Amino acid sequence: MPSFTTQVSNLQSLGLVLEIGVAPGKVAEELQGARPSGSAGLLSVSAMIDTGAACSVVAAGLPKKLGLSPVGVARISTPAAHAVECYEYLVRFVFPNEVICETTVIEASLRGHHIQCLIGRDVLAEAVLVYVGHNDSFTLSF
Amino acid sequence: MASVLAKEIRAYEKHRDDLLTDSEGKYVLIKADKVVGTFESKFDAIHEGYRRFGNVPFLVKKIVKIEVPLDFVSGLLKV
Repeated sequence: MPSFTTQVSNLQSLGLVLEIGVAPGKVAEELQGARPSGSAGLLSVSAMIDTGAACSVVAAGLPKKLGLSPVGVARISTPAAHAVECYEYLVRFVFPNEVICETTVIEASLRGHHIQCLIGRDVLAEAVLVYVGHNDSFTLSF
Repeated sequence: MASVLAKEIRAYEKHRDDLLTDSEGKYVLIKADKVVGTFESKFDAIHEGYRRFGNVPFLVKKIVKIEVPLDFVSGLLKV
């Protein structure tokens, strides 16, 4: 079972944060010349596992850096807004230990500067998440 | 928002009743004003969109009577 464990300096304070790679979906990658020249094949970003997110999110502007085009539109609700439309994109998350997960993400602005990606319940739906509070670590298995 | 996929969204609205009758619960692939097909899974529809059209905007949408927005309760989105 592919899995990884991440240690966080203060898990309770910082949350389930980790560094991951975000890449175009495999089918997009396989298309010869599908991405615009100059776009990145893989971006390293700071991410947070967010059990309060129905689906995964990447920060505004990140799909453009990857040269991606939208494959859908999702309506979302937040504590501040209802039924806001956001574009959807196909991406691959590259977790530690080369654990790879392909999913669709929405593009939206995120609060704070350091987090550029939320791992939502769409990914967790395929996984087992173990939160070890006394050890400041967590494990995600697929 | 959604101006890039405005044509596709209009096409979905136009064909919505027929799609609900024939394919409720499936995923529809739409490019411009044309319904390309319906698929059992979202990823099948997306892969077919890439295969046919390449890395350009297209719409994959679940065919449902009532659309429930995806919820984000942690307040991390600036929306």
